[in-house]
Amino acid sequence: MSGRVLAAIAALFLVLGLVAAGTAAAQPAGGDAPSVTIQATPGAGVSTASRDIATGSGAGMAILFWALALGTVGGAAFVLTRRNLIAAVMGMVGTFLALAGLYMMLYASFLAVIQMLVYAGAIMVLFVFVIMVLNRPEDEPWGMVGLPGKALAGLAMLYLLVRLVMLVWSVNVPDTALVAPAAVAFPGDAAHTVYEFGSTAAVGTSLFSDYLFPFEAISILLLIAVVGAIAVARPLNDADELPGAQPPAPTGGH
Amino acid sequence: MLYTRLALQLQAFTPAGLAIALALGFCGLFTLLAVAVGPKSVNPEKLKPFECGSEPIGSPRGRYSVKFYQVAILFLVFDIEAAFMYPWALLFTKLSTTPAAGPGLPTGVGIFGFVEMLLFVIVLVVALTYVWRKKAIGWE
Amino acid sequence: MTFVTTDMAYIAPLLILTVTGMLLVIAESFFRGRDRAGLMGLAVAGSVASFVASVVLYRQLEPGSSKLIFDGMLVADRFGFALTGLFSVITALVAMSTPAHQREHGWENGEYYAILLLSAAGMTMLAQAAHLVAIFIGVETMSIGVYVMTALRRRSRRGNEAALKYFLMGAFATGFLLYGMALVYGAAGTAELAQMKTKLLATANPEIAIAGILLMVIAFGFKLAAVPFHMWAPDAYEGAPTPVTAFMAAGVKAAAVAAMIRLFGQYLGGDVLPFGAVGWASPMVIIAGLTITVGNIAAVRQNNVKRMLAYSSISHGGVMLVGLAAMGLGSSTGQSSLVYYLIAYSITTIASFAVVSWVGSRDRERLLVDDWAGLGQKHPAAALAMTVALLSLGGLPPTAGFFGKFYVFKSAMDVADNQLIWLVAIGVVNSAISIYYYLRLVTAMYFREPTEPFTPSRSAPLEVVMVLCPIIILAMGLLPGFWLGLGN
Repeated sequence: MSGRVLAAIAALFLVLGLVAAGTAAAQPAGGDAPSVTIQATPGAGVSTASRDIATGSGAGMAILFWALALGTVGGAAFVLTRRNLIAAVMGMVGTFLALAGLYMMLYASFLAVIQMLVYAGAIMVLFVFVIMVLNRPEDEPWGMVGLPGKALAGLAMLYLLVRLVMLVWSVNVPDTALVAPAAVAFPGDAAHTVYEFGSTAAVGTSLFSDYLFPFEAISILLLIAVVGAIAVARPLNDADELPGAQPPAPTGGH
Repeated sequence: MLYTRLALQLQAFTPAGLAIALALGFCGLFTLLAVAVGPKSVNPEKLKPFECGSEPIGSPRGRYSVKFYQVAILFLVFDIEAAFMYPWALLFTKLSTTPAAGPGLPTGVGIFGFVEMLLFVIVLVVALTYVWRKKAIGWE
Repeated sequence: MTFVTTDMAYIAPLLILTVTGMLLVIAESFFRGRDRAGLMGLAVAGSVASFVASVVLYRQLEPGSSKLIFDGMLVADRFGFALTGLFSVITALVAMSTPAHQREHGWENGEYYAILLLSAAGMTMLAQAAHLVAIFIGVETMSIGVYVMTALRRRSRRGNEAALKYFLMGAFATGFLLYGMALVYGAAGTAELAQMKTKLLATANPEIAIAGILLMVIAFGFKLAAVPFHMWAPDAYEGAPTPVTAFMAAGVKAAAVAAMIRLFGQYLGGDVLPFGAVGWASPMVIIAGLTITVGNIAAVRQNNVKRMLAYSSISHGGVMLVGLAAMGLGSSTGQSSLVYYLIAYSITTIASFAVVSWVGSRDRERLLVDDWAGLGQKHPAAALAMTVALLSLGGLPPTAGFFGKFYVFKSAMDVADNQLIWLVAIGVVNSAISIYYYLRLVTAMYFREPTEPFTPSRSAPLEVVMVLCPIIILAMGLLPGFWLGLGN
């Protein structure tokens, strides 16, 4: 399977995830939704004035959500259509950033920051280095080999897309699921509240208690990743060079 | 409505959002201004790649050493490790507090949080030892 | 937050494998010289210790009792410890078959043993998983280790190709797994397997649950190399170093089935769910039928022994899915027959790949069926070991493979209303077909003249594996009762 097909599939999943998020978010909470909203912040210092402001800015939030959604899909589409791999990576960074914004809107502030640090930072750097190590020419033509297979795969993907979008559109969000998580006072500022759900402290609390085992197990995974990366990518001795492999060009720099 | 609730939540981030919006706005504004009102003179010399004042030597499209990749992946792994430390640091006091022995008694100091992170870090110190000994972070 | 210190005792196999793996990383860091046999010794010692721990824990638990540990992340029961014991044995046997292959084919590598044990730690996580997160981390720990081990024979172009294919397909499967888990979590509102069935039956969004479960079936299909997700397997199995191939075919497959037994069989099984509200068994039976048939038919056409064994292992994966479907449809003997089958299949696979790696040497890898002509005259012991392994793979009595298939098909027959009888028919017909290609190798070994002298890669640990495995295979075949009781 060619890398392009994989990329297409990856993008498809991005789109699907987005549609899922969008549908879940866009579902109205029923007729008495505003009262649900207000009850969700039980007496935690949200003044009437700020509530009014918030109600007024609901439309702004809708615009923000759809802008970020568009950014996610647009970034993915940009990745697919670029010949220049570095440009494609930049499109990917756009997707990551827009996703971070969506996480922020879903109360997951810690996740949003990690998304920016790890994905838009470290993983993007990794991608760029892989591109530099491989350095494939950009002008590789589209292979016409296996075109029927590609067409078939495309049709299958289209079918899957349609079915999954229909599925996601049918999602039924119960009113109780739309109740906001409990609010806590903003540290050092009792006049404002934050929602506890996705804050660093909340994520840490579950990470270091209920999810203690996965947390420790992750370190094994990271150990394998380090050892494996070094073992596989360590330069071979000169005598061990693969027959016919090109010697690595001198490293770049000025 | 949902979006209203989102608005309530995001008020806490208004200053950050404002800073981002201002930064983006000014960058965009000045870029656009430069394009719109700046003087333009196109000549072939100016379109050449600029390499520290000297003539470009060779194509930039050569293959780079795999060491860049190694450094990048090590950075990634230890970056993730560091990401786990933020919530831990925030909660350290809470994780180190043991419940009081009875009503009215003070809470104790435990080592639970410390040991949790110690185990995690020990595994990664093993990884670091390996990396160090295999000279993967040296650049000869 | 309830951290129970005694929970640590229940993950002793996992801890022993992890600590030994870390010691191996340190040992390799400070290692000078070329011969890694000492590291092999440490790896085997760790695996044996983990096996002993599994046996002790197994005996300590009452049959049928199960205990959730680490806030419902893992579960301690006899089934889990039977499998952690199996994975420890697989790891020890694979470690023992490695030094000869490394020496002969010039990929002396000490990290290998460390990664082998850490990967096995991931497998034990799968055997004990009771939470979607534990399953995911277990799958990743195991898979990433195996990708690396596949890539370690770096001077071989085929090895590199195999590693890349395996890695890309595996990463792809991980995407499916994660997406499936996310959908199931969204529908159920919990990731704990123990509560999942009730929550899924009461969900407001059964479509999401079904889509999620289907995606997870696909992801495990990739790991198991089930048709139509098997395309990577023959190339990866052929290109990987032979001991790694044995680990992939025996260990990874068994661990994937272990996770499927936990997820689908134990926690989402029963006579109502599979075809009804959750519906994982309907695709599973179709995949099982396809897998058995396609694997067998492709194996008939292979002249390369490793490729033939690869396709045969695909076909065996199909039989495991039959057992799983039976379990999901309410067959009471499904789990014990699957555990028996997993043990029989893993030991047999390791035996066959051990002989494959013994027959080849630096000069010739001798992977074609023609290369094996006359082995029976020159090296009767090796030929006998291979014959026992092939008979067991083909499912002929009195080997373990026969009883494995027999019990799995019998448990499929136990399903109400004969729902799986057509699948059993497919399985039996395919077993008959498979005997053709297994016997082709046997006849080549015994009834043809050698074309050139054999130069086997002699190595004491490898030969121990070649003796030990056939003995276990025959013991399982002659005394099936004990082994059948392990999975209860």
